[in-house]
Amino acid sequence: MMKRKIRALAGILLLALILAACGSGDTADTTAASEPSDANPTTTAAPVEAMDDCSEVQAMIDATAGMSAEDRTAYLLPLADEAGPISLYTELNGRDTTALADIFDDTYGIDLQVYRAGSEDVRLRVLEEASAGFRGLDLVEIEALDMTILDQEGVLAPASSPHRAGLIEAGIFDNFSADRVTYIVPVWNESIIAEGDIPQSFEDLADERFAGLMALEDSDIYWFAVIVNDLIAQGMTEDEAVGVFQAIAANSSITSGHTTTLELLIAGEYGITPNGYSHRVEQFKLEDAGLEWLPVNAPVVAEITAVGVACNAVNPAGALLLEDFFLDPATTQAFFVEVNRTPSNSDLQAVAFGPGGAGIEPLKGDVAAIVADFEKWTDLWDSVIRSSGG
Amino acid sequence: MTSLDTQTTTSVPLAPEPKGRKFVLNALRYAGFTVVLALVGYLVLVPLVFLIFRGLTSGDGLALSNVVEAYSVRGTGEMIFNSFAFSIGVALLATIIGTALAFITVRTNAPFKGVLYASSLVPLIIPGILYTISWIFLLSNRVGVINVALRDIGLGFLDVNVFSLPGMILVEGLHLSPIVFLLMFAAFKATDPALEESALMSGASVAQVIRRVTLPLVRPAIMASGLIMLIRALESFETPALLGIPAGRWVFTSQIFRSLSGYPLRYDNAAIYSLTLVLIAVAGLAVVSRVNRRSEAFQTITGKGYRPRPLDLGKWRYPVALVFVLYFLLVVVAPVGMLIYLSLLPFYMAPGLDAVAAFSFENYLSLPGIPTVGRSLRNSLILSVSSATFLMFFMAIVSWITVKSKMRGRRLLDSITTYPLAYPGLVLGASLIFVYLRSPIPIYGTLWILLIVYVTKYMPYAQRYASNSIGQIGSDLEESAHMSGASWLSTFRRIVLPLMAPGMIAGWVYVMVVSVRELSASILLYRQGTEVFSVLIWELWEAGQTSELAAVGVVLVLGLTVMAGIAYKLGANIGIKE
Amino acid sequence: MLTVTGLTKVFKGTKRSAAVTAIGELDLEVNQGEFLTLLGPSGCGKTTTLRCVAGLERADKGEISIGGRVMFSDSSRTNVPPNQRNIGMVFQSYAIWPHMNVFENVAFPLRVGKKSMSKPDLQERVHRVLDIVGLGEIPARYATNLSGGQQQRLAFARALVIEPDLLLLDEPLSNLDAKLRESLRFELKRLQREQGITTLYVTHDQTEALSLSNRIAVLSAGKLMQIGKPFDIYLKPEGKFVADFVGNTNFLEGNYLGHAIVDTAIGKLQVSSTEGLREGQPCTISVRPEHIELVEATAPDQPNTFHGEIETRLFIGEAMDYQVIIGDTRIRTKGAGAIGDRFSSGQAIKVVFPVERCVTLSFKQ
Repeated sequence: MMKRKIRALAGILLLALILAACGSGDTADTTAASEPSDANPTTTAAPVEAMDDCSEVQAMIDATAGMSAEDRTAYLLPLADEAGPISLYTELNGRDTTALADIFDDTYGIDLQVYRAGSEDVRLRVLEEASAGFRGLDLVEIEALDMTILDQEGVLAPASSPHRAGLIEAGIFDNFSADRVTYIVPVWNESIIAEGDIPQSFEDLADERFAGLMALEDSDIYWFAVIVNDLIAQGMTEDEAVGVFQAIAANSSITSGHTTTLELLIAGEYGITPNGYSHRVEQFKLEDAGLEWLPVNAPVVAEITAVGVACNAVNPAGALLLEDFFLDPATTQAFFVEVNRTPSNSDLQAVAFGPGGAGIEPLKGDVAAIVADFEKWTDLWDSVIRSSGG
Repeated sequence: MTSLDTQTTTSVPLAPEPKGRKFVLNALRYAGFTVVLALVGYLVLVPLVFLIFRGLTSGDGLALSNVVEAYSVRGTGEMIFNSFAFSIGVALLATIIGTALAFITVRTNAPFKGVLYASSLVPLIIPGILYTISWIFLLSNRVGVINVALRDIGLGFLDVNVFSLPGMILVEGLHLSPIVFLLMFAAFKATDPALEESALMSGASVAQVIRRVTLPLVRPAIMASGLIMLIRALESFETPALLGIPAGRWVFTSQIFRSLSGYPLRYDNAAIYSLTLVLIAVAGLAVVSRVNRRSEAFQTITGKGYRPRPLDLGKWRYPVALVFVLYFLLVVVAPVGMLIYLSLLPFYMAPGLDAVAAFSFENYLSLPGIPTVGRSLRNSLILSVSSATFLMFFMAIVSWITVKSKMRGRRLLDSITTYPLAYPGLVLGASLIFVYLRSPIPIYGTLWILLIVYVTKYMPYAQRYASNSIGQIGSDLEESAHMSGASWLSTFRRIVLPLMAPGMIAGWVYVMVVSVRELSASILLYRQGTEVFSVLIWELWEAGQTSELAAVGVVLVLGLTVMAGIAYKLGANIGIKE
Repeated sequence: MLTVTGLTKVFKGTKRSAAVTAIGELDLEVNQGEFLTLLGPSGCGKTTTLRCVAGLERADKGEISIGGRVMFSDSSRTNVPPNQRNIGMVFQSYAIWPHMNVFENVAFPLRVGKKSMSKPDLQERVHRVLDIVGLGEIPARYATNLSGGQQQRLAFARALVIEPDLLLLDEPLSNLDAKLRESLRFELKRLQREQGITTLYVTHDQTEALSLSNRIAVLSAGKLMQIGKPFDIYLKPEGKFVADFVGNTNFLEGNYLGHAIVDTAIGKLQVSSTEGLREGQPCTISVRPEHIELVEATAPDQPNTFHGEIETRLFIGEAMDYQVIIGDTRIRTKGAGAIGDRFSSGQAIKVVFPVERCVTLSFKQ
């Protein structure tokens, strides 16, 4: 009896391992048979050099310089198709990436191989793969802050898409381009904060009437830095600017995670938060959850998510093709509007919000400078958080 | 008198073995030990070596000045205090509750034991994010369902603010108590009830028996479990983040997270913090081992007709039953109930008529439409079943070496198997990327690398289950098998394993269930085709699809509970029949 | 001192096994200072009976009283918990606590429960008991460092230290090797006699039972087969089971012809007792191997002498076991080792069944 059971278990284990081995190569949703590691890590000449060797991609960029979008696509498409599936590392969620992959497939007939994770996790993986000379990536889509790090490590090829011309000014960087933005704005629960009580300015958030009702999410250091810089530009000293935040924190409980914050806002545990994601609120508004962010009377900070082409892309033509796809107002940018996200294309951005949202001018943040001083900003932010009212 | 007592054991001297054969056997034994040590060492030390390497070669390295700097971050003293207060509180709470419940379940005639088995399992299944968010909705200050209810019936003074240190300890302690329950269940199953019966016959009351005989005998298991809880709590991230930060209680894990995700990447700091955790784990284990040294001789399952008889609780049956039910309500019904509630709504609504009106099954209906749901479920099942099976068999052998054999180096082996407790998932994932991108073994990007994650991460737990089960099997059982001509392998397979069965099944179920939840390393290592379920869960959360996530949680609980039930039923046939 | 009346215990059946009647309507009495052994094969209910007396098991029906106090009675729903019965018990596995040393193991019963002793009194009592069992020199040694024999003594000391009304022993010698078992048997007997404690002893080993007990109760399948003094049990077994279980014996089936003659397969046998026998009735005769004499084929005849042939012989040290064929019947005999050397396999001899050793068995099965 025991023997049989052990044999059964061993058999299951063996089967499982066989399935696992098969499963690693099998893709149910896409039909591509090859794996991202077409180029064996062991055949790259010298791992460190490979990071700077943008030659293949550069050649492709040079060949398509000055072309119109349609010409460029016509040039790249056959080359991309020949080289196989295109590899995308992104922080976009599954629902949206699947939809985009479908659109891409319908439009170009090429498969996308997608890896999704948090922005920092993607960054870590890209850096590790690059330093090992592993070619697994064509296009990466992460937050501008993380992208800046990648750029500093020399992982990215120059940005070259003709669609860059249509992007908002704040979204244009040398080696990457913004494809979508997340607006960080005050959000409130309409049944707790009456229309007459909504914040009238950023400093107004420090007002007593919000005491004990506010939730301050603890991870938006970039937002903090941009606004402080803006306040300084308006004449405050750094200490005064930070002081405003401290006063706001004194009104607040600190929360962790934007999702949690909004959920608690809906539940009524809190009434208002100074740093919520506008597009999330838009999604909730569709369900009548009772949240609102318009009219917005405080400075809006745009957290930028950008796309960058990998220097040692496996499918260089495909990488560029995908870069265009993400920035194309006809495809991805329009898609973002449909799913209530904020595209980086300036025309479409105006369309993205309803009547209340038109004409919002987000603050332009100096991403590189903020990244360079990040430790200082982290320190200052810590001092803000710790003055919370609890 | 002493002239009569010349024998030390009741064994009959063996006929001397031919020298050649003995040599080969010894060589095989040492070879086997070396293989085991090598495999364990490889799995466990890779992340450690990576940490040290990166620590030395990035940022300011591991110089003392850098260590001082890493620990001079603003609020360090407070963070250290919070971390330890939280961890010790959680360890105490989880260990006390888990041990008490395990004892009552295994040893007494308390009613409603089935309820306890369920309570021991369900919290392990619920993904951490969901568990904590349920508790937020149950216990948050203003709108927490339980607090509101208490206020409504006039017991408002009882209400608990979950956003506080006691709140954190309560939520995490309850969440982890099933782990201790399962560990101690294995330990209690393996002790000889005659020891308690003889105490009864000596006139001790039931309470005295428990205090003076039962507990001291399982003290090694209790201390080991407590240590695991301590390290686990020190390393935990979700509860301190979701509950601690609003409470103004920062702990050290967020520092690790920051150093690996901040700008710039501070591997050196991450290395310093992680190595500190490893040191704490090692030191803790050394202390526990020292204290339990004598208990290595506590072999209590012997071949002498061992027949467990439950202690009669008498009039205490009903209060105990009440405690069980209360535990079940707190640990299972409340969070799962909240999940079910959430899953029926588009977004959280305060309980009331409006909410009921908004009930629908839409979230469940949309589940099959979630991209990759089928594939990630299949991958997770394959991985969790394989890793659980592999680990339990492997750790059975390892624990035989560490507990029963006299091999030199077995203490080292035992110590090494606990290091992974202290590895944050992020570090584990990063180290595996680093190593397998350069290793000739082509497992990067396959399910195999994920298998390595699970096997490494859950090794300490599997080892604990295995050694709790094996520690108390008397050597005469194995010796008698030898005398009947059985080889080591035969004896192990036919005698030792079946006797370890109840504890091993518990360990198997634990690893299987918990590995489905592993996220922080898995998310770094998967690729299209090898996604696992936890990544899906994380994605839904990040996308703000909380209600759908709740539906997923409910389905997960149901599915894994059924699987665990099957495992227990199958396993009941392998072990000792009662 | 100990009275057991109508004790019944049934282990309920499960899906896999039928219900088992462990004890069926058992009546037993143990007198003050007496050493009574429950003897029987595994499954006969002896351990269950002992555990019911101890209070570790709860019987279904019947009554148990010790020293006049009713400990268990199903009719009056009385069940005194085991820790209040003032019984000393030695377990088969000794159940020595490994986390305590010798002194602490013995002191434990004095420290728990309702009694409270002053420290010097406690010390004195523990040391005294340790001396009695011969462990007085090693009070600080840890229990796990004791030999099997020492552990057994320790278990005994622990049982004695509370000066119990009743002492229960559950096969305490079964885990020791033959030599140790023998010497401890003597020790046990001496101790019990010196202390004069009423003792209930459980074993399957009939040599132990015969050598230790004042009286033996033979059990089979939960029923009492015979109770009596060792001599009586051995020499006058009532029924096949007792005769067979207690010591070795040869059974000879036959018909009673009258005048103390039984016609058996080997021939006509003269018996000593004709109690309960009726002419023409079938009966069974039991003759112990050690009582049968083997003599040279040429030796003069005696009553109950038959011709036979040595089939096999086994030297077991202190004796020689013979298997003898008489006609078609196999008989076992035992001769003193050295002297028994004179017969070899295949040899034709004469077999003598001394009349007074041929016991007719009553029909209690």
